[in-house]
Amino acid sequence: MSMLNTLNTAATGMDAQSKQIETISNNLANADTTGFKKSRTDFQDLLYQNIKAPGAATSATTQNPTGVQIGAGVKVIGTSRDHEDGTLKPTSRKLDIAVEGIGFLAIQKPNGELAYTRDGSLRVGPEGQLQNADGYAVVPEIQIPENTKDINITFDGRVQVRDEAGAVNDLGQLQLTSFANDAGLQAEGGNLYSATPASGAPIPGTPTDGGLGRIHQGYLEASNVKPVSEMTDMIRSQRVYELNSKIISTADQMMNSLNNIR
Amino acid sequence: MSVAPYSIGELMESGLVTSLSGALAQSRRIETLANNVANTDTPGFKSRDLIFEEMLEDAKAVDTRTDISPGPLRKSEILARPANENRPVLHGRDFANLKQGAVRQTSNPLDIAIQGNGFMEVLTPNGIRLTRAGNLSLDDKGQLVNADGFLILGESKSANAAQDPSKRALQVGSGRLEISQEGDVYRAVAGGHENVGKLSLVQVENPAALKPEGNSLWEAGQDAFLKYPNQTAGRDPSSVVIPEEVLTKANPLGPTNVKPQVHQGMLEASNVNPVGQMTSLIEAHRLFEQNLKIMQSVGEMTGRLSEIGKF
Repeated sequence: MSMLNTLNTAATGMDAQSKQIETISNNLANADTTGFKKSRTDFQDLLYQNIKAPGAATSATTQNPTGVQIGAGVKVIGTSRDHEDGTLKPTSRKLDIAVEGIGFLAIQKPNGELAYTRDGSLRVGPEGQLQNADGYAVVPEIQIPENTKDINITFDGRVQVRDEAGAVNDLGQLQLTSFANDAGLQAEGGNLYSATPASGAPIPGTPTDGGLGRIHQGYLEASNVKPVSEMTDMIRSQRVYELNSKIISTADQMMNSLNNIR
Repeated sequence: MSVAPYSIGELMESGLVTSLSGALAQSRRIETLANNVANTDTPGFKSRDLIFEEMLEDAKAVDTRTDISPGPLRKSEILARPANENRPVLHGRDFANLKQGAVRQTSNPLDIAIQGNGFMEVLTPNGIRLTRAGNLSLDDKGQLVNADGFLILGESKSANAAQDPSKRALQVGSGRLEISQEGDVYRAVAGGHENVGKLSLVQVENPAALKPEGNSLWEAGQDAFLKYPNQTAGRDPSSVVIPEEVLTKANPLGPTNVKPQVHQGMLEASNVNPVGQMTSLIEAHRLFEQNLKIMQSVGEMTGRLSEIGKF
């Protein structure tokens, strides 16, 4: 019965909007998370029911030009992450780095797998290796000597240290990893992403080379969440949710009248 | 003119059938409204509505008056229809409101909005479909795809490539993507950018032949009369003869002699107008109630009739 279809259709609308609110609330909760990339909910219309096919004969010589096709609602097709750069915030730490442009830092997780991050708040581990805030080693590994007085990281990722005696040493070069499709990366939490079949294979490279971004020492990349636009999206989403519930209450009243017809 | 008067039983029945069909029609319409409202946030979605042909149309069809001046049908003449001509209103026509939706800025380089009469070509497993949903993505090979992962097609560079649509994929790869207003696709390479092709934009001369397929896709019927404003190779536009009645009708998508424009970093929102949807909802709801009321009255009348003669 068509009124029950109406209920289902409106329910898909409410469901979709509540997913949108979930995404918005996660974006807002992470508005201050270093290197966080905001997500967006993408919608598509569901299949159409052919009540009367376009082109059906209306007489011996004429056809129905449009037919009657009734849609079944909406679905969430995915949440796509927006990998636009966040603004770079200056910090005074020598080991804070931000990537301007394309590229992720590769991190080795304790299980040996690689993960990728834009969060460049690095630390020196107990054995002197460069780590992220969770203590996972940066790949390729860089060992900071104990007698280091000062660290300098260049635009193209070369790590240079000055020891107590004033001698400058080159310790190696940080690498950036790019993907054919950034939006296909899977978020793992902890500011980490992992490669998926949708993202394509990781392509390691040297910063500033082949379209990869530059590294800025003493900066962190803020999240790219824009709180004002998230708030307006939230207001719109809530109103659309209400419109859908209005449809449900109308269908309900109609069914009520139908039940009371005798 | 022979007038076959209705029996009381037939009259009752016709009253019931008419109002029932009216009530069903309105509940169909609400279904359509529900689909519109559910898709308020679907990029590129076009709202739909149902219109119903009036009962009087049927009456006119059997109007055989020859001796009186044309004018509104008198009641007796409407009733003069044979009983089997009493067709319900259910056969409505639905149509898409194809007006341009509002364009919203997203600043995502993979979002594009099309302004004017133009669709992108999407290669689905069922063949080429059209879409205006510009929330694009890249696949694992770095090719431009839609939100479902189906290839977005570019214009073929040679007549040969037109035969195999999968050869018309747009290879973007990593790096910054730029799309010009004409639909030229560039990717950033060391020291500049490289053209990887041109979006295949399709104009539709007869939008009534577009069939919504769901998933933000449209299937173009044979009489849609597609035009390819960007195409130079492999297609011969002069071979298609467009009927005069299609050309003279106002095109809700916009004229096809104006090239569509592509705006990167923007999305075309749905054109669902919440105010319009709500007023239509109230209207359909009230008409539904009125039809139920008539059914109720007819039922009561039949009940009273059966009481006559009872003492």
